[in-house]
Amino acid sequence: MSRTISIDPVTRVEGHLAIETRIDNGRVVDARVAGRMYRGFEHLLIGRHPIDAARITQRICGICHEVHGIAACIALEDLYGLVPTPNGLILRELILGLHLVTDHIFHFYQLTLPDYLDLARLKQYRGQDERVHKLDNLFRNSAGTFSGNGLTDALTDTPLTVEMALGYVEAISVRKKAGSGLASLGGKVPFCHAILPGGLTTGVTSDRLMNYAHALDQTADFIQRFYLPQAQALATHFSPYFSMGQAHGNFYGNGAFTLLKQPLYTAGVVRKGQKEVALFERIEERVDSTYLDQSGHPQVDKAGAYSWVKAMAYDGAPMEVGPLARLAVNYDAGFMQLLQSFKQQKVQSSVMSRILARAYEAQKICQYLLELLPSYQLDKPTINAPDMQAKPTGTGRSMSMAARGALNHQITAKDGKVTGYQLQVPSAWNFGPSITGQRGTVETALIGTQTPDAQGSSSVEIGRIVRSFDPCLACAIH
Amino acid sequence: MLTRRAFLKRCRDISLLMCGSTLLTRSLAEGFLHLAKDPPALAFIHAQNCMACTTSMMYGNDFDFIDFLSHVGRLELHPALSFRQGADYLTNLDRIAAEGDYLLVVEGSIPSRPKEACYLGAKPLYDVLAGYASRARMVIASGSCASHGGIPASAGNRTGALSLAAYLKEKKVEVPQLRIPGCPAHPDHLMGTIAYIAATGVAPPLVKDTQLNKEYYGELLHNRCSRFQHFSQDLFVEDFAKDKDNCLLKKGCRGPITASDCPMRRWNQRTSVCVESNTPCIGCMNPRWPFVSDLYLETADVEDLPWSEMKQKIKDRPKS
Repeated sequence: MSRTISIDPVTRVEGHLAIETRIDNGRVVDARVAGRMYRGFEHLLIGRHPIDAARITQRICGICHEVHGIAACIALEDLYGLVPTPNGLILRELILGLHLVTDHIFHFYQLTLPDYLDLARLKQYRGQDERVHKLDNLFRNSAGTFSGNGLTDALTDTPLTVEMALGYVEAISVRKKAGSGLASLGGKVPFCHAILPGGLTTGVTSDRLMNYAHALDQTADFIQRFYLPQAQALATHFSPYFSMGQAHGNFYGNGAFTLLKQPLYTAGVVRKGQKEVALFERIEERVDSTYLDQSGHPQVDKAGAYSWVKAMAYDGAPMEVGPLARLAVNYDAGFMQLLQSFKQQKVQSSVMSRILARAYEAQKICQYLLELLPSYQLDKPTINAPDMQAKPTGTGRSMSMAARGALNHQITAKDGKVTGYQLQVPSAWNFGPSITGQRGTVETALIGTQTPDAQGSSSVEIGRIVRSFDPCLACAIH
Repeated sequence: MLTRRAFLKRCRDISLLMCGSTLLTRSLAEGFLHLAKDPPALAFIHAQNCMACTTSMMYGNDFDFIDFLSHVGRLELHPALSFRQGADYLTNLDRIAAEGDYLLVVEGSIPSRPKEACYLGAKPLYDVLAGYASRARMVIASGSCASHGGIPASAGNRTGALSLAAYLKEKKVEVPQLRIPGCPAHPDHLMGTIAYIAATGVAPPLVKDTQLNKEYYGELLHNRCSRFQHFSQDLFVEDFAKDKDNCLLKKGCRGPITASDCPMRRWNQRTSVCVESNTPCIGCMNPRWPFVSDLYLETADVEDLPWSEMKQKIKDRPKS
């Protein structure tokens, strides 16, 4: 018997997302992933001053709030022929890294955990910790938001549920501290305005660095005590999810965090188990199934279109991007070891691999940043500032990263005005629609999923698979 | 249970958050005692947004999001936090709307042409938002996109993006409205305004002929800037690399044309603020944000009049 399950809107994601699946005998046989909100950033930049792109593109997304500003600055340096100062590069990595980590924390606690926890269990808590009773009150006070996830297979371990619920609130507190660390270098978050091509405008004093280091320490400590162990506990209790949500197994990642002797990530593509170098020229954007005509104008009545997201392909093949892809492309030994403790012999696309990859990466980035911090030189310039009155003509490009995967910007300018801007954004790789019979990455990951009929018109499994990719639709569509 | 002392301290903190003084402690205490049984219901709807206003709220300043949920309001619906999804989520929204008397917070502009540029469930947001707004006690535009259109409504946009006020006017919905501009909205500006409404039951005092909270938007940023003395002494940043404390006016600072208490309130546990990171205010709380002119104005070709006048004054100032 065939039926349809439509999740519209998918909540606990960034942006406007709808999933429609066809179920045959309790199994997903067809899936459509649709992005449902469009603003047109690439077009809105046309005719503006090139440097404006650093501030405007930054605002494509307020969850991954520093990544576009940084990617735009790298592309602008390429356009202006500007070499950033060593301190500027360090500061940029310090901001990017701590930001990425807070993004991962938000994803695990606020966006993911509600798919696995039954908060009614807090009532069964008999301990003395006053925080738990307060928390129970808080969640019940806002029951419209913090209940109704409709789980039949929620975690049954009460102490672990309590710990994770405390983590939910602690995550908000630690992000606040991390925000202070980011603001001490970048002015404020979301959206550090100190980030300009050439480096950072801030007068970075020793006390600012100390405040940053303090925030980084506290964030690293949270990851060590809460995030990583709780992600592992989740993987233990929901181990079938190591074989659910498998996409095609193609991975793409850009290089990043390259200032120490050993770069954290090098660029590459893994296809059919083979690693290749990643070349910008091989990336293709297609609008076959997108509400855009060939020139990029909105066309909502277009035949065959069902999403605002463009389809991305590398050398004709769809790719999965994100922390898991980065670790796969780099054959990360530490991550392999972690996977082996869950009897996983290789890096494979799955719900739990993605969740673990994110937690593992958070710890890895913190370690990198702690090592990077001492290389900052207080008596050296933070920025090699751009000439705002220059009128460049040409092209600039960056291959950078966001929490959710590889991020590329390309700007073209003529006589000091933007004439074209191209954004290749992680969630477009993951959440793009089908083209020429080839399914998008998340669509592929949904096929074959078993979902009990008892759940009626919704599906917990589909929600879990989709969220494991950390959807960011504001970015994907832009 | 909160002790009386702790309760009053909390009210003092909220008073500080709202107006920078302890003046409102007593009336807040009364307000909260009154509201303790029935904090206002809050529902968030996302239009053409980027989530930065929510992220900003969750980062908080001194006062944080958890305090806010514990003491100020009942969060009935939020797209990024709700445990419900799909049809269950929309059913919950309809329940809230049927009960009425909620504060509706909208983030993002509303596309009108094509209206298919933003959906809420299976329907274009343009078609359904008016219904939810008309049943709310008050509608709050959080952030510059909802307040004034922002980036999605900027020059040459292809979605007919409207501010919330313009949308409600087009839909002929009359409902009390407030605007909390900012790209993103400052966490205190949003949560403080809601705290005021929770405590008093009415909207805060507004800047004349606007829907802007006077406490936060009553004064130009320039007049509250920590670098005002440098401005008075004609000390300007020429090179971002060398000058770290001077006035940023000649780098295109829009502090003189933008109303906000940012420099005093500061951000992220009061750690810093844009100007303190030695970068000009880009006017993200200005109704004209993101402007037609260049964000980093260094040329004489300026269409922002107050700014030009100020520049002229500096030029004409007698040199000692």
